[in-house]
Amino acid sequence: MENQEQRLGIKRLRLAAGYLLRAVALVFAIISINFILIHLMPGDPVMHILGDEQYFTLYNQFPEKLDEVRAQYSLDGSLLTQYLRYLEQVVTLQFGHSFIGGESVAKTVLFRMKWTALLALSAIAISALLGGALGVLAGYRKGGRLDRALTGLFLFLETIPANCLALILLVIFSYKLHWFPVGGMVSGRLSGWPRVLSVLHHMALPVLVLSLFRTSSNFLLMKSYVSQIRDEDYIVVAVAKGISRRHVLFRHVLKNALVPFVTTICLQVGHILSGSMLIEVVFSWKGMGTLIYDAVNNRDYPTVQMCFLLIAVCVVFFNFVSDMLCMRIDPRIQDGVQHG
Amino acid sequence: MIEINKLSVVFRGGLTAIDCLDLTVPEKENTVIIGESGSGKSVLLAAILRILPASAQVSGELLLDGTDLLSLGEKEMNELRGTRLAYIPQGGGSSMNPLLTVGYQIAEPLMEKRAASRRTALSAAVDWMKRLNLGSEEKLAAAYPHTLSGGMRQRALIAMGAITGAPILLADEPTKGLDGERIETVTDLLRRLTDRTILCVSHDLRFARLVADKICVMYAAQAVEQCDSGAFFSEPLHPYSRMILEAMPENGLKADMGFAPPHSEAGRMGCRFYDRCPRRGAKCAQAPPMAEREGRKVRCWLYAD
Repeated sequence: MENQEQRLGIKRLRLAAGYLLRAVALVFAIISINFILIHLMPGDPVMHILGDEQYFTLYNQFPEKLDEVRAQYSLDGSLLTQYLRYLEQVVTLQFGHSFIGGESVAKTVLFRMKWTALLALSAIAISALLGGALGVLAGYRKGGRLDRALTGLFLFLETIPANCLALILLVIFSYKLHWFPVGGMVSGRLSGWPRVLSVLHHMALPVLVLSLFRTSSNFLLMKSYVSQIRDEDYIVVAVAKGISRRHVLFRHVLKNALVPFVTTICLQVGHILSGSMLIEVVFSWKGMGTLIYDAVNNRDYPTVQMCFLLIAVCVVFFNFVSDMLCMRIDPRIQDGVQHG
Repeated sequence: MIEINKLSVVFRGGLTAIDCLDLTVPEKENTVIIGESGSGKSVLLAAILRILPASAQVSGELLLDGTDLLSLGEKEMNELRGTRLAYIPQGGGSSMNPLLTVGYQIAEPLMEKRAASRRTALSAAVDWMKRLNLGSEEKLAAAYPHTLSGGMRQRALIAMGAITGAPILLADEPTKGLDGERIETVTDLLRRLTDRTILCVSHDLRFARLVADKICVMYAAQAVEQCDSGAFFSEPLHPYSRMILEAMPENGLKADMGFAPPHSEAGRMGCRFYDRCPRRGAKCAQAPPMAEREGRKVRCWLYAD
């Protein structure tokens, strides 16, 4: 029996190592595809660095000057040379400087990332708790009054485009009622608690919009998981044992519904940096969304590359976290058992 | 004592799973319900426990010591489950929660209904597993259901039902998937539980012969014969009862037991066994009454006065 436990331990360790190895390979593949996609974008980045007029002047009169600019921004050499240079940058975490402003890409991206994470994490936390809890209640009493009311409401919300709802709320609560600021992230010249309150005030509307959408999808997913699980034989057996409704729900139903729900939430967290781009644009939130939008328009390769890399790493990392959490919750995954 | 009067269970869409069943389950005796798949045996146990899906319409009376279970609220009914009524489900892979340990699931009713500490309940679970001869019981208690074989799972489910000490035990195919030696263990255990009233559903006639005091034969949602176990095995009355006994290997597999639901007009409106009955007559196109003969009940025109 002890040997069997040791073997199981090794098997689980191997499984975790396999997941990790796959994640690393995936990040490497993403880095490469990321580089190729960005360099396939039409237009010469030097044109965006110098501006149209200066670019064409140099192009016609001093083409060697253009090569100098290319060398200065590491845009010279073959695509392979540039790729190897890019790989070196990634490995040494030297992401260079923006083609446009000249500031450190890492510094800019990390600053913007902080603000996006604030927005997205709040929305994910609220929607996971609210959508999850309501989904459990509605799914457990499928067809009941709560289920019918909430399903109708959330299906309606699912059909409205996020930016459309954001604009409606902006018009009502900011322009008409003046309850919330029209845009931005914080009022100027504030520090301490007043600054914290100002940030909360500014983020209220965007978080509300993001939360509403995520809550509706989380609700519908959780409801579906729970309504399937509550009809499983082991739930009927738990009821037949005389277990209280609360314990049947929490110990038996919820635990089983957690596996797919954790995966869903982890995937949402994985998209934390890129998932609220439209909302950021509507509410003038200076986060990753607007940064990527501007960087793509200006062919700012270093910024785009680092943003895409961070997004990819984030997705892969939280996918790995989801695998580990599911393995922790479900012993069948630990043992590598196939189940439906 | 359980007294069942005119119990009917109809599922949405009109499927009748139990049709006007009358049955008395005497106290501290073993009653075994036999019959082929789809005859309504398991539905009867689920109806007593009130664990049928919402799509099932139940009518009639289910009296537990005079109290009609169908008239109880869900809270009152839940108080009876695990204290007065215990359930042994069929041991398919889906009867145990895959994310909880076997020991915990066996011990759970004790923690929930008898307020036993986790330690005491788990220790009792291991004791019951030992009584059912599962082997390496302490380790198995900490294992998850997917690591157990079908037979081990079945015995764990028996432990789960028996551990509560509830005076009435409802067992659904407790020997399903067990080999001869394990069937003997389960049979011994059930025979030793003389202080309990056992209502058991089984396909296994040899097991029924060993544990049953009373037999109820079900066919196509109806009880067709009810009598003492001895009388049933020595002299079955209903043609269906004769057929299933003749189909036993020790009786030379004399009957062909090919399953056929009632399909003719007479089979649907009259005797349900009409289409398969070797002794059918003109009268059998009408629904037969439940005839009483020497303390035995038989739903057949052959025995109707």
